[in-house]
Amino acid sequence: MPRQDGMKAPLDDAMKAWSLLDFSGGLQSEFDPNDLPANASPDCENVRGRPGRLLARAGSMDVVELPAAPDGGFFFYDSNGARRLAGFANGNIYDLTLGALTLVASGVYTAGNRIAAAVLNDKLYFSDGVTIGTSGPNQYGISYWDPVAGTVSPLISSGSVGTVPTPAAKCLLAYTGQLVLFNLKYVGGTTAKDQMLWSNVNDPTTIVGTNLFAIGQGQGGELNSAIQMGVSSVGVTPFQAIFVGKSQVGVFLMRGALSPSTLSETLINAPTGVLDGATVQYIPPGEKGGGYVCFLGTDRKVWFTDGINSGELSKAIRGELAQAISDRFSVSASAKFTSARNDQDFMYVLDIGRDSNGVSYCYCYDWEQQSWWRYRGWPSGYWAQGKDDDSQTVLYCLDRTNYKLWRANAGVDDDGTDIAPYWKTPYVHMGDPDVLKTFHWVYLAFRTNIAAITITATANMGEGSTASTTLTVTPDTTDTAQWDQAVWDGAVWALGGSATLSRFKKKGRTIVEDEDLPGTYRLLRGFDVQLKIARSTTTPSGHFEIYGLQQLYMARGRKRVA
Amino acid sequence: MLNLGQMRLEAQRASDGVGDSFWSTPEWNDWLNEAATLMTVIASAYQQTMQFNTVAGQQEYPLPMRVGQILPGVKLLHGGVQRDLDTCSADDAQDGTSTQSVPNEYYLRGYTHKTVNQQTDGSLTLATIKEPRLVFGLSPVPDAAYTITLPYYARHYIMRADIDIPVIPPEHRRGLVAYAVSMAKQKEQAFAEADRFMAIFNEHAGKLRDRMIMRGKSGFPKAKTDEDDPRANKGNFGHMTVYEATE
Repeated sequence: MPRQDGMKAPLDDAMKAWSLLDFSGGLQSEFDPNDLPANASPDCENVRGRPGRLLARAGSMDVVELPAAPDGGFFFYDSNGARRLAGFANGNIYDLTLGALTLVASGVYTAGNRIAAAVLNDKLYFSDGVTIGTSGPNQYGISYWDPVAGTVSPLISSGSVGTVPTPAAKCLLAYTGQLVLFNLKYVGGTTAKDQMLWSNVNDPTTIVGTNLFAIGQGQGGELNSAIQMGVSSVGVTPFQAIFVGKSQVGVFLMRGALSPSTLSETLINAPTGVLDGATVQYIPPGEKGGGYVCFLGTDRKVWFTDGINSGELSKAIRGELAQAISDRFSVSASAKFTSARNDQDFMYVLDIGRDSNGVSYCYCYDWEQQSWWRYRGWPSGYWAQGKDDDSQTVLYCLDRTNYKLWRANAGVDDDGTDIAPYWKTPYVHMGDPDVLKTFHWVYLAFRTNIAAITITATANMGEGSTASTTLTVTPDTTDTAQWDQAVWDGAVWALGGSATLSRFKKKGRTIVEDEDLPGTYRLLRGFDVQLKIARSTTTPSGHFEIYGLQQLYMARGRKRVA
Repeated sequence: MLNLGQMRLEAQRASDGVGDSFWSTPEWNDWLNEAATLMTVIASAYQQTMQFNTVAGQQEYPLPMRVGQILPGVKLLHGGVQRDLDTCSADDAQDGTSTQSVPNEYYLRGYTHKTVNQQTDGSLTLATIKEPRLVFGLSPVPDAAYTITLPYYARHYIMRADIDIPVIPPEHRRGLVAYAVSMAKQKEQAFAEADRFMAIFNEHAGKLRDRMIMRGKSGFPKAKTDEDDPRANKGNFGHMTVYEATE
C-alpha cells in the first residue's frame, strides 16, 4: 500500500545539520543580523578570517617606556642597510631599533606637534610643521637624521639662486628623488596651508621658491596628508602620482613631473576630506584588487580611491564606526586617528584610539578578503611597519596613552592580558524562519595547544533562551610547546620544528537549565539561533583557530494557521 | 544482579549519555522507579495481606505507601468471626459519633496533600509533595477496636540508594533499564528510539505478568482462562490456550 503523503516517514525524526565552514565575511554590524550571509558576523572581536578558518588576532608586547607622549615613529633603512626605528618624544629623537631607548638628539622639535617625515638617500627628514630653528646665521624648518654618521642636522638651504630657507612642513614626501613639502610654514612665520613645495632632485637643500603649487586653493581646510600612490593603471598610460588630502573637504590626485608647468591637480570624486592625515595608507595591488589609497573621511567613513574614482569601504560597519568616532570626540575634541598597514595579514589597521571607558579599538580592513575585523586591546598611537631581525614584517606602535613602545601582531596575549577572541554567527534559521526547531548538538573542528572553546547558543524569535557548552581538549605533549610567542626582534613563530598542534573535533550539547527545576535541563528551542564561539576564560592564552562548526537540530513543525 | 546504580549506568550507556548533564541522576532514578512501579502494576506481581486494628471513633486510616490496589476480600474480625466487608462510596458512608457501630462497609479515597507549597513565581516545591497513597474508610464509624484484614497488590518500593535492589526478578530488570532509556530518548526527541525501548519494557512486563498468572497453577496440559488479561477479548469468554500432545 502506498504511503500517504501526510504520514511520518522513518527519517522524519532524524536530526539535520547546519554547517559553517567559512568566516571570510567578517564583521558586518551595519546590516540586519537575520539577513546576513552565514560567513559574516554581526558581532565579532579580536579574530581575523583566513580562507576557510578563523583565527584569534595576534597579541602585542610592551617593549620599552618612552619619556613622554610620542609624536611620531618611523622605520627605515640606513645607508649601511641596517634597520632603524626612530621615535619622537619630548622634543627629542630616539633610536628604538634595539628595543631600548637611546637618545639620538634632543631639542630637535617642539614637543606635542606631530612629526612629518620622509626618507631620502637613507636619511630621515623630519619636521613638526611649526618649529623654525636657528643654526648660526641660518634658519630652517626641517632636520634630518643620518644614523651612519650618527648626526641629526638642520636642513640648511644651499643658498642657490631662487632658493628659500627650508620651511617647516606638516607633510613630507620623497617623490622621484625630490623632497616634497606640504602645508608650509616659512621662515619668518608665513603659513601656506594649501601649498606644496619641492626640492631639486637628490638635493633637498635646494628648494626653489617658485617650485610651488597651491592645491584646492583657499577651500576645504588645510593639507593634512600626502602619500605616493605608486604606479596607477588608471588612465591611458601608467603614471606616478601623489594623493593629497584636505582637512575638511577635498582629496586630490597630483600627477606629472614636479614642475609648476607639468604638475596637474585632479579633484578626486569623493564627497569628503581626510579626518586625520595619519589614517592615509596606500594599499598595494593584489589578485583581488588593491592599488588604491584608503583613508578615514571627514564624514567618518573609510574611503578608497584609485586616484579618479572613490568608494566607501566601511559600508559593513558604517554605524559602529561613526559611533566610535563620536565617542572619541566626546572624550577629546582634538582626538587623533592613526593607521598602519599590516602586510603580514593584508590589513589596513585603523586605530581610533581609546574610548570613554579607556579601551582602545582598531578596525582592520582585510584588503585581500574585503572584510572588516574589530580588534580590542591593541595599543593606540603612532604606528610604523618594519622588519624584524628575521626579515619578517612587524608592527610597531608608540603608545600615546601609556608612553610605551609596543610590538604588535605577535604572541597570544597583550603583554599578559587576555585578548578574548569571539565570533557570533548571524541568527540562522536553517532555511525557514517560521519552523520551530530544537537544537541538539554543536560540533566544532578547531586547532589549539591548550585552549578550551566555549560555544553559546541563543535562540531568537522564540523564547530567547541561551545555552552554552564548553569543549575541552587534552593536547599531547608536543602541543604544549610555546606557540605564537612574542619576542622582540625575533621570530613570531617560536614553535619548534618538531612540534605540531593537534586538530580536534569535539561535540557539545547546547541545553537549557530548567527554571522551575534547577539542576535539570531541556533542549534549546526557537525559530533561529545565534552561535557564539569564544576562547574559554579558563584557558585565556591558548592558540585559537576554528575550522568549522555544525549545529544539529530537528524541525519541530510550523505554527498552524488554520 | 542489577541494583539502582548499575541500572542507571546501563541506561546511560544505552542512551550514549554517560557524563551528559542533559539527564541528571535524579531523573534517571525517577524513571527507574517509575518503571518498577509500572511493571509491578502491569504484572500484578505481588499480592499481599496486611492487618490493623481500628480505633473507636476513627473512621479513616491512611494506608502505607506500599498498598497499591485493594483486592476483594477485605475482612473484619468480630466476636471471633471473620466478616466480609462490602464496599461503598465515601459520600454514602455513615459518619458522626451517633452512628458508631460495627462497620460493615468500607471505602477508599486518595490522600489529601497539604504540604505542596507554591512559590511566588508560580512554581511548586516538588520536594514537599507527598507520594500518593490511599485512605481506607469504614462505615459506620467503628465503636471499638476490630482487626481489619486487607489483601492488596503491593506497589514497588522507592529505590533511593544506589545499592537498592528492585523486587522485580533479575531476568526482567533489563525491562526497567529499557523504560528509563525510552524516557530519556523522549526527552531528547528521538521518538523512534523511544518507541523501540518502550517495546522492550512492555515485553518484559507482559512476560512477568504471564509468570504471575501461571504461578500457583499446576497440571499439564490444561486450559487457561483469564478474563482480567487486558490482551484478551473483553466481553467474551476470555481466551483459551489449548495444549495438545504431539508425537
